[in-house]
Amino acid sequence: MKRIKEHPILGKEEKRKKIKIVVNGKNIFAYKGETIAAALIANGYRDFRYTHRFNLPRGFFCGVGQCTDCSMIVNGVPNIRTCVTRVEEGMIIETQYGYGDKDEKNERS
Amino acid sequence: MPKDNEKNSIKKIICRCEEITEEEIREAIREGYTTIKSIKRRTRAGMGLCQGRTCSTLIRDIIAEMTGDKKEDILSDTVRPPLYPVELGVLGKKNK
Amino acid sequence: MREVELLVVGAGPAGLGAAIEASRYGVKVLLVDDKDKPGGQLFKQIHKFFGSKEHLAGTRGFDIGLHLLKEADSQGVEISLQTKVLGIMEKGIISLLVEEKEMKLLKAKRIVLATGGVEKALSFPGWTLPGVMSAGAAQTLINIERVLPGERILMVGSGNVGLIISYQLLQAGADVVGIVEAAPSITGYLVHAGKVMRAGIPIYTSHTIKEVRGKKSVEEAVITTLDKRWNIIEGTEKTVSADTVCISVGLNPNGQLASLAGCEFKFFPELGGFLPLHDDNMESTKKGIYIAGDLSGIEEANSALDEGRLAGISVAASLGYIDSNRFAKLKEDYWDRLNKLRGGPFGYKRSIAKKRILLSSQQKEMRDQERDCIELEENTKLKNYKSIPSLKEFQEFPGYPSLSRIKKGAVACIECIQEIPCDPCVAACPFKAININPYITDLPYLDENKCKGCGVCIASCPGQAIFVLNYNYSSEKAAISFPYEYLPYPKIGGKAVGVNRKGEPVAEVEIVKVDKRANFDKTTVITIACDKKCINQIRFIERIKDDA
Repeated sequence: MKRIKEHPILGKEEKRKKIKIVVNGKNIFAYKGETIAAALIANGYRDFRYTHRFNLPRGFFCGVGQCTDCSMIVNGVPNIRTCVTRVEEGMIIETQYGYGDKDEKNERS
Repeated sequence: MPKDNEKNSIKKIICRCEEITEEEIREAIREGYTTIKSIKRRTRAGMGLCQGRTCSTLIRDIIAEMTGDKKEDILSDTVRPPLYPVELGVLGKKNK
Repeated sequence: MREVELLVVGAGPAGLGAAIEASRYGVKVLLVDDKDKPGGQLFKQIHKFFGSKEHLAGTRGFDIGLHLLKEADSQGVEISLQTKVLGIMEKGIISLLVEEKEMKLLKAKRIVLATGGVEKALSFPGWTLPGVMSAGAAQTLINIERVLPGERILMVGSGNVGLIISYQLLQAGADVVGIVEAAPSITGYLVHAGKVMRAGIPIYTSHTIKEVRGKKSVEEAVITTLDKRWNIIEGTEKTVSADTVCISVGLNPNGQLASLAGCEFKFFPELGGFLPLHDDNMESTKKGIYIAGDLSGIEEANSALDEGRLAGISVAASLGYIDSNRFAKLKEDYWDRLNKLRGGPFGYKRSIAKKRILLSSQQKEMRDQERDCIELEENTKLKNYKSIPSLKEFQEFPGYPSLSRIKKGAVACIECIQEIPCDPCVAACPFKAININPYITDLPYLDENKCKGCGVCIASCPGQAIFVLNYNYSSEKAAISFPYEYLPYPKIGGKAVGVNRKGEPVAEVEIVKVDKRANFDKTTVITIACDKKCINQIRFIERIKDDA
């Protein structure tokens, strides 16, 4: 989904440092200071994780760190709520399958 | 809240974290589990990562609809610390 | 273990208000918030607030946020961000988790809980698909992160939150395909509905969302009509192409911490559901623990701020920093302000609920007060609207100029017909031609003889409900001025499609002025020239789409 470059109230996009993050093995550009969820959505990603029971996609829902549907594996750690976690240079982000252990990933991805 | 046809509730998830469907919750109520606490224990709805923050008002609505109880009489489950998840390593660390 | 006099939990308007006031009177305050930025929901409110001068009405939410942070700073309030309260134990001992990695224990003589509200969920088949989100989540994405959540958005809920966020989604560049409302009438303010309807968003009352479909994310939504008993009418399904569905069905007080602390709760649906009781000092049933803001009942930012300030003052008084006479006067002032905010037909239900909360906490029967509540309930009428009122209806209100005055030349036209506590238009008029008297909820009265049609009031109205009609712009044309907050701005000399209050095309118009005065605070005022016969119909133009 698009980034809002110019806005009638917020004005022009602020100059922010471009940083590189890795999403499922692919290099993606994000802006320093933004949340992981925002960076992913801006780059066209919407399905952040797949559920344990029904293997259904989940993504950005509550936006305040409460529902945990935006959880992904970040730098090897599962259940990171991407809507309240900010990107950092070189961050490694992966789709979380179920609870995040390797067996679940191999079963379904 | 608009009433839905029960037959559609099979596809409808109520507890997002544990993926408990509306049909499973209605079944639990039919079995006699008519409080948020007891439905949680019977179905796991409310035991997931958000600890019932998203689903408990939805479950309350279903209980009210099926039992006729007033919403104000359907109590939430007990809130216990820690309010947020804490890593065991942090809990166990020696602090000043 | 560290000791503080006051711990305030939550750095939104209520928490900031409490911390600022308590500090002002000498209390040592620690303000904590679980997020990494303060302000609560304030910074994503990019619209101008309603209310009175004391409430900074007419100011955009994020500017109010900056103002509060400056005040907190000048009072020396210590703020600890990314700090979560894990639990409140006996003897005022609190357990904190700082930045996810360190646990700290803290002792506080007093606590103010200002934990705000959380958005309610609405379940329907497909609601777990990526692309379905709370309206507030979409608002954070567009106004804080500057990323669009999607391009074709369906909004569920026509309360103020749903209406305002629909408007902001348009400003952000998304297409809002419609607003679905289960009730038979629009539940938010008509002026908010007016903004979105004139911009072309249809509001479907007595409709609900039945299902959302898509493989990996939302692709289409099915909406249906509801009957009088709110049941789905079979066979009325309509499929709408959308990639995002925003849910805006109300908020619940975030009472987890208050519950943990042992505060007594009661159910008030008019204020969002279960909430902790408080007395007229904002103290809960647990001695030493005070509450303020959406936690004590879902209202708006200005009442949250006032409740927070009152809680802060009560804490200061209880610690001996304010003598009882001065405290009584301050308390009276704040209750006066709060009662004004809860006046009028939109506020009366909350006003009654708040009165009942105070009665509950006093634990004695106060028959006269309860009788007043019932009388207020029976006598207050809020007229329901399925859509924007007709021209005839607007003309019956004191803000609409007479036809004879319109024919004399430039004059303001105020289309504000609901009693909302709001009055920035009064101060904005240099000729004192607008009056709201004696109650702030009264409707604006336009003195057509004093009004010169200068148009300064247009940008001052947070509801964007003021226009200037100039019947005598030229011998053939009339001119109409209106507020416009979208990009790209139309260009002078260009042509546009003039639309009516519902966004329906009326006639081609010419752009004759684009006024971007700095003190209009980013509200541009556009003037168009049109046929004189359209003077009472055209209120906006079809938004110009970006070529990019």
